[in-house]
Amino acid sequence: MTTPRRRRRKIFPSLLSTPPPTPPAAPPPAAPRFRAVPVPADPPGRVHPPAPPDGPPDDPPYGGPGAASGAEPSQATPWPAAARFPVPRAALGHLAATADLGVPELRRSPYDGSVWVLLDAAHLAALPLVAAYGGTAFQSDGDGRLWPYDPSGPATDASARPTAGTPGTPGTHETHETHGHETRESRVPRLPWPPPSSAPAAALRIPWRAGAPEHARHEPPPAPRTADVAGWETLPLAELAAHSPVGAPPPGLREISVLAPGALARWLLRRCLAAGVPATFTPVERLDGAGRTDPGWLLLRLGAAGAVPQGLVEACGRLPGTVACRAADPDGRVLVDLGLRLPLDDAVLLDDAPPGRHVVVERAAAGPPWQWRPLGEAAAAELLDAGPLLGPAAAPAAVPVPVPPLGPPLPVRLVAGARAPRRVDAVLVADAELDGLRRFLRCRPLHETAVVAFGPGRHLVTEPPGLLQALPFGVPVYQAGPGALYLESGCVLNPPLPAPARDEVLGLGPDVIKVLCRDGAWQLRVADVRPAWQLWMPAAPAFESGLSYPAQELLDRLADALPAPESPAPPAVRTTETERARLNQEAMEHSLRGDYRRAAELLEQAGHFQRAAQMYERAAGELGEAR
Amino acid sequence: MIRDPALLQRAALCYAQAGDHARAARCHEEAGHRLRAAELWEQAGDLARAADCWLGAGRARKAAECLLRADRPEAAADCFEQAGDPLRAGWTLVTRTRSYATAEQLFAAARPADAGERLRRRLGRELAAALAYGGTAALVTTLAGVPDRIGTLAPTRERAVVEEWAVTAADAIRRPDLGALVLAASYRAGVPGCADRWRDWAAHALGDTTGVPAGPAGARTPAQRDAAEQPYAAPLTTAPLTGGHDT
Repeated sequence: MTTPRRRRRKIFPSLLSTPPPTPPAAPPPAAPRFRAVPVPADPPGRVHPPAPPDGPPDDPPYGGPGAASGAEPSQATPWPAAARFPVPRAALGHLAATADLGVPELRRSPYDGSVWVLLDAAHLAALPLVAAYGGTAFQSDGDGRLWPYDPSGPATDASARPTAGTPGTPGTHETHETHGHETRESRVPRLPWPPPSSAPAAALRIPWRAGAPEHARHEPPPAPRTADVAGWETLPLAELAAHSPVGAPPPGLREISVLAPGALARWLLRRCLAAGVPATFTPVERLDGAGRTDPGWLLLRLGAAGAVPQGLVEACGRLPGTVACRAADPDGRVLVDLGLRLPLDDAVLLDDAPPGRHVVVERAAAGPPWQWRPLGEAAAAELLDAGPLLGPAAAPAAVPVPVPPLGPPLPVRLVAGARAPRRVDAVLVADAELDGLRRFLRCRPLHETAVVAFGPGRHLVTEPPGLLQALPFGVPVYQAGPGALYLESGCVLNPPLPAPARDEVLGLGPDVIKVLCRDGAWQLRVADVRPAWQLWMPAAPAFESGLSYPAQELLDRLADALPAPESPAPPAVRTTETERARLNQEAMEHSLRGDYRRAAELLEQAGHFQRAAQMYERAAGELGEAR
Repeated sequence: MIRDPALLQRAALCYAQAGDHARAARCHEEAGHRLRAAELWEQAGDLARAADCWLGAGRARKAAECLLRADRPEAAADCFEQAGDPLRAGWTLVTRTRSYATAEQLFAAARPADAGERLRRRLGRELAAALAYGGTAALVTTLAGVPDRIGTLAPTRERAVVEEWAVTAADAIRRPDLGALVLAASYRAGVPGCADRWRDWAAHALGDTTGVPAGPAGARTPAQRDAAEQPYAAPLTTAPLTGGHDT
């Protein structure tokens, strides 16, 4: 432990009097320019010889008792110490470890992007921990210059620091080495920056910024002073917290907030509705660091009774530009990315957040930090797709809700799918195929039960499954539901639409049949459904009626001879076949609408047990698919 | 996809009413009614699927009977073994296959519970040995003792089984005389249905049913009783028959 300390004490008195350092390309001097001086362990209480009379008295570098006669009082800088961290995550770790002392001032170096922490008197206890987080601690002297911190020296309290010449201070070694032979400037180290190229100081080597000017690549940065560091750009704590470790979102979240652009937010809201997760949305505008605003954003708040589905949470976080967050407070002043593993307590972030602002702590890789500002009140997710209210009580101008741009609607297409149903519930035939259908059906048992729904150029022939497989022409379709919606066999809708959406988008109704094929879409009416045998029903012949004269004469004679039988007119009852035909027709209409169960019951009632059984199977399959 | 069982059952009833037993069985099977499906598969003539349904419903013995009818004796033996009847399993292997060693293992592992099962186990092992190695003396001795013991067995169902096994064993070693003695003893013991089986056996094995009683033992005529008392005893026990014409 002593070796690094000794190396850190190497002070270079001639540095100040020498010209600016040469570029690295310059040849090194033959003799070592600086020489390390071993420092003996000074016994406590050792009295150093006084300064030579020909030299000016040493300035007390740290103030303290001798500060009264010093040129710069140390109380002019409120930060007696500072720490430099090469990467933001190191500064964040140190800050989290010393969070109980309060949040110190944070600065970003304009030279190398390192993070400087200005420590006031209340934070001096955090100084010994700096090295543990990979940082470098500095103490300021009376001039405000920063010196590497010496942990073996006296207490960090500036007032208790020894004066120049006391062992353990940077000036001490110079005093030993150049006692009575150097000027004031050469004896007192005024430029502790850049650090010497000793082993511990090598850790302080910093890669110069790629965008730095050429001369800055070769020349070390100027000696920092506390006032210089304080004048650098302030680093918000939220931006520092963005460098926290990143992991997967924690499971079991009951409420999350999502900031999303308008088009993606609408998709997310629909997915929330489909998943049964209650959600609200608030129009917000995004403010970046340069003050530019982007109003097309929505803040979604998802809250589930149990937990928000993990798939939904991950989907929110994976979308481009979308941030899935948790709110640090109910007002949402600080939203923290769900993937961030913050080492800090949320209260620290809340205390540091500027009042009246809404800060987003997003992972650092996503870009510079930004803020948001609400533009309206929160509304339920269902209202996003709601149409305008046309009632007398609803005045359109009374609720100026800024609707963000939601993007164009997606086209729904019919595409062939490997998993699409390939069963044949009906066959769509064209006008030109009607004649072939007539000739085909009249020789087969299908003609007794099949029905045809006539339409605009296309006609739907339907029957219980199995019989239609043999039809050698037409486009096979299957009943996709709800109601009388038929899709071409082997095809599905892309993107897939749930049953309510199909009902709403395709305009299904109880009296219409909609057929979608890859080459067109047709709407047929249930009222135009006819039995298939009507395709070839011949015209009724002209029946001759009435009585011929001989017959009439004969009947008259008989009426005179025999009394007229008193037979009341028989009631017009429906014959069994008529009733069966009616039931069959009704069953086919129910089948066209997709109500297979009712159709099966009617067919069973009509005595068509085989077809009823097939219809029952179809109904069972439909229920199975619905489950 | 799981289809609605209630609707499938209604479909099955409609199919059954339409006479389509196979589809009705399929619907019942899909609806989870395996017993009903097994019966319908049997009616439809698909004995293999019926056996599957019986087996799925935990009726291994019924499945074995279906498999026997489907001429799958090995699978039937497995089902008998699953049903806890190793005697029947071994007997199936002995009489329907050439797996005599497996049958012997099954007979050796069986634990007969009564005298009837012990007698059947002995018949089975000796028949397996006779078919495997050719020595029939032990089996003939056992078969000759069956007529005396069959009347003492209980319950009555066991007598019928012993009668069936003994007649089958006698046929297997070409000793129909011993089979006739067993059937006559069974007839005298009043085993139900013995007269019909005797008549069928005589027609099948001997080609002639002369002298075989037509009805059960209680309803026979005195002449039939006398014929039953002395069926073929004197000539048949001394010389084995080779065919029905010699009688």
